[in-house]
Amino acid sequence: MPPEAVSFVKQVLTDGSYAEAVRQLGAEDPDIATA
Amino acid sequence: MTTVVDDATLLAVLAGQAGPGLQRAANNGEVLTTTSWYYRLNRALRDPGSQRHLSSMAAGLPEEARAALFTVIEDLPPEIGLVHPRRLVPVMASLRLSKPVNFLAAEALGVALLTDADIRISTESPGLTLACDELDVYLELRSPFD
Repeated sequence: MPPEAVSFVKQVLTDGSYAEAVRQLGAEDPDIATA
Repeated sequence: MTTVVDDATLLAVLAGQAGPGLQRAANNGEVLTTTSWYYRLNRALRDPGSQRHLSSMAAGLPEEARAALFTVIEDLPPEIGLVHPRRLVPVMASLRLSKPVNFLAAEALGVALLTDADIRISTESPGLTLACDELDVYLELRSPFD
């Protein structure tokens, strides 16, 4: 994976971006929410 | 030992950024995920109709980086295990718990029970934690990078 993609993954997993996207998805669809 | 990982941990594994033990386990075919977590990973990063900050960030990556990221997400490496619904659904449907769980948690529990695996998550999940206690499934809460 190119360095830019690796940096992107590290960033979104550490700055809360991924967690926020997951939270929004879970709010829309309780079947895939972390409950 | 086989481990069922959540979507954030799967993403770290796919980027080669998980800890050496988990990365090695993935290379050895000892890491599984669920369709729910795999689906959520794709939705979070690739949903074109979404105004989610994350998908916008991914869209802003250089073409080569975006293509490589999406390729590995769309075409999950064969070393990452996924259990077929034919085997999984009956186990999910047979779960008897003091408190009902949603589809995502039922699937994780079903995969763990079928494969005698641990479950590793990166976000606290009280419902899944309680269910794992009742079913004697080992649940670990760790950073995706550990």
